[in-house]
Amino acid sequence: MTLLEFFGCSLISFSPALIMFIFTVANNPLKIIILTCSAFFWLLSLLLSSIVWFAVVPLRKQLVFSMVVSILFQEAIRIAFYFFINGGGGSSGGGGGAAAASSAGGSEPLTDADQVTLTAGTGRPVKILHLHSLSYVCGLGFGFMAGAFSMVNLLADISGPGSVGLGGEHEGFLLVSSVLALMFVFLNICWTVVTFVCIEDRRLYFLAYVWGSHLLCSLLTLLNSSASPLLSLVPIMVSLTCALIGLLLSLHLVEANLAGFFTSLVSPAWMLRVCRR
Amino acid sequence: MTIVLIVLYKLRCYKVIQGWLYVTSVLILFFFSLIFFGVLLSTLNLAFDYITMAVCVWNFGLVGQVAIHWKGPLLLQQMYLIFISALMALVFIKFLPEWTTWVLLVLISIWDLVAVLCPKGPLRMLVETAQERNESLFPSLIYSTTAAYMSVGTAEQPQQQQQQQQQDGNVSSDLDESGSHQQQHQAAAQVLNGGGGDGGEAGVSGGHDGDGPDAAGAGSNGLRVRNKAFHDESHGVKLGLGDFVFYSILVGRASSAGDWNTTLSCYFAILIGLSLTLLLLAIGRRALPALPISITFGVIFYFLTSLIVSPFVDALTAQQFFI
Repeated sequence: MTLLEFFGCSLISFSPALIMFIFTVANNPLKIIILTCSAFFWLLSLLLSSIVWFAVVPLRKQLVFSMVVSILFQEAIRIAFYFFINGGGGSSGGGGGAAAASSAGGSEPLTDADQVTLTAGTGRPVKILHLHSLSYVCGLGFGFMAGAFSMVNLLADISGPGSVGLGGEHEGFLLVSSVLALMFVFLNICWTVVTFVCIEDRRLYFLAYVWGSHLLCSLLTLLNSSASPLLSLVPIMVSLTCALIGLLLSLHLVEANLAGFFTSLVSPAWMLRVCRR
Repeated sequence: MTIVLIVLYKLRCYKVIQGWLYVTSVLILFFFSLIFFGVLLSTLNLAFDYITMAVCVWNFGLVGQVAIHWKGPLLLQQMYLIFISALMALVFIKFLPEWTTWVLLVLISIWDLVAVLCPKGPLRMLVETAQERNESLFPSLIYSTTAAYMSVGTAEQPQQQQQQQQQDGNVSSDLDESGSHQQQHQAAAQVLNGGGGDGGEAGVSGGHDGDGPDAAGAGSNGLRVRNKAFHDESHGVKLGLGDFVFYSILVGRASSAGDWNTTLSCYFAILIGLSLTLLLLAIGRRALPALPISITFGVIFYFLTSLIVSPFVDALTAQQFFI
């Protein structure tokens, strides 16, 4: 029963991220490295915000303050990561990416253009990954880490004997936690894509959406009191809405064909190939 | 131990080193695995008879020996190497007190730094000796991403291939990268691997890679697809098994504290340290120690996470506040 619950909750939270990883990231070593890097950067932001929480002793019980600080740090680190990966913005750069590619090349055959630029001595390193897939991978890393840090201790506790309320909480405690973790994974992906594309195109007003929805979704989770599970529906629904809006916004920003995107999500590969003809 | 190995290597006592190597891997693959499986079964409260256990461990160990020291699928070899590194790390974690482990880790990474980078450092001398003798690396105690292609390609020097030394305790480890075929010694950045005498010959192995199509024809590499060997020739990275052991010790010690947040953060810190080291490898193109950066990151993150981050995250998760 407990192991069942463990697998259930972990799959609720992480299976979309896992599937996205398997199908889009796993076969490309550079993407895996960038994923690890972005997860680490999220960890850094968490570290900074916990230092602030630790330092401001009187406000330790008022978690609102440290949550807001944490959100600010996360967004700052997201933007910092953009500059770190893209080496100062613009359409060239990716110094970190280029060097990583040359040392970890692996099985991906580089295109001739990339190969020529990489081996042409110093020169400007060429961007190996397109910004859109780069931002998606970064978002996945951020989201995975965010979800992991909120879920992993819970999952460890579930796999032991006895669960349900896990120490006096209501019976939907685990479900709410898992679903919120799932939401935050998606949200992180959308926020990262929007942020990166915004900074690249210099359309900074969409950042307001990112910051606003992050604050909204996060502060709404303050409603997750131990009294009533129904009240937790609010943050879940709002996060879902923000995630959907974020998805549409990021698709709009990367100028993807919306109909094509949604069709490709549900159609098998052979059908897409047929339709393309 | 390292000095002993270097002396042996310089005196060309390859058979001694090879024998030492075989004995240690037999010890780990059979006896330590037996103990490990025994403890695992008793923890899970499963009944298991000695006869079945003997058959299983015998098969497991023998396949491991073959995969590590001779030919075998690359994935199998890698899995066995990872298994024995993890087993070694378990031994350390189980029998060393906590603070000893941390001090050991720090000291080993300093030793690694010194041994590989100083001009008179033992491991550096080893690399240079191996380079002078134009000898190749051997696959048994280096974790490599393209080992199978290279090792089988070097059919002409089977003896010199087995010169690595299994670690018995203090090992310094390094990363190794097989450079492009023509510029073996100059361009090949190597990271030595501890356990003592590692003839870190990424260059030569890379060279064999380059001769892939020819050597493969001459050598016994009938199983491998030649195109793949040709493709991967300049992309292999070698990491010493000592590295794995110490990374595993760090993460294992972090996880024995019981807190998964700490384990996760140590894990990612080590991965980032490794990526940084690989980056430096690509820039520096010489033998580099793989331990210092990762271990430093790991230790720092362990203490920071367990003391500061964990209470914060626990406070948040208890009330289901998400950030």
